[in-house]
Amino acid sequence: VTSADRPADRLPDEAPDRHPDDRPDEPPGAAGERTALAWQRTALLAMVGCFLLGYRALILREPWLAIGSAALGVALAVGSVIALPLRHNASDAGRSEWPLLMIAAGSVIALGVLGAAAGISSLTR
Amino acid sequence: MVEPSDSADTADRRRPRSVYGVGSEPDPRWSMANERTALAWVRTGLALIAGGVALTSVAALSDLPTVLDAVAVVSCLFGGLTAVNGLASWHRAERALRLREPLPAPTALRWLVGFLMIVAIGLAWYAITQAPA
Repeated sequence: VTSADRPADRLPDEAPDRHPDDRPDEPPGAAGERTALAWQRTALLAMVGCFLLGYRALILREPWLAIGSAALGVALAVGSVIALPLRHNASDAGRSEWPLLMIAAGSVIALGVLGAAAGISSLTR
Repeated sequence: MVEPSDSADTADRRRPRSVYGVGSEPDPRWSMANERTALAWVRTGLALIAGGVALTSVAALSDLPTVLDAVAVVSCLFGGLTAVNGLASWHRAERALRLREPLPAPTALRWLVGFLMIVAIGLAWYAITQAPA
């Protein structure tokens, strides 16, 4: 029996069948900030990946790979500047993570395919 | 059969409906933690791709065998799959949070660890056998 199971240690407004940490009315604190930073780290890493791949494509003299990497990098940079500041307002309870997550995963898939194409180009030389 | 929640009224147009159409609104902290976990998977995928590009670049600069290029191709493709898994795991976990069900086990983690182990052992073996005497 833990201390939380004893009625004397329970908060007055806490229902007996509710998990001690499950308090939907409580403000999320720094969780929104941490999530925003996680988005920025991801966008930054994706742009660095685009730069590395573009540089590699220039060395390989593969213009389509270089153009694809540059286009993806610019799209990510513009999208990050426009979309990320609009998100993660703690009071925005009706937000959906799905569209941006889809874009992030799609960008990584595109980058992976371009990277694989660069590797295949090296293999065939 | 789970009915749509009271919060999922006509004004709630969030997609996908397979997630937001079921259960009730969870604590926003858990939702955001789930989002950060998905982003961590996406970043892992990006790191695998960056590693693959770095490997093929080093192989070309140092005139190393083409087997390293093959490893780089596999690493880039696995990075893309890792990002897809991040998306799928977010979907499963958010649904479980809304339905107050236990979170699904991170099954893709064993695939990632297995892949990294194989690549690490392979590259270590290559470095040992190709080292100058």
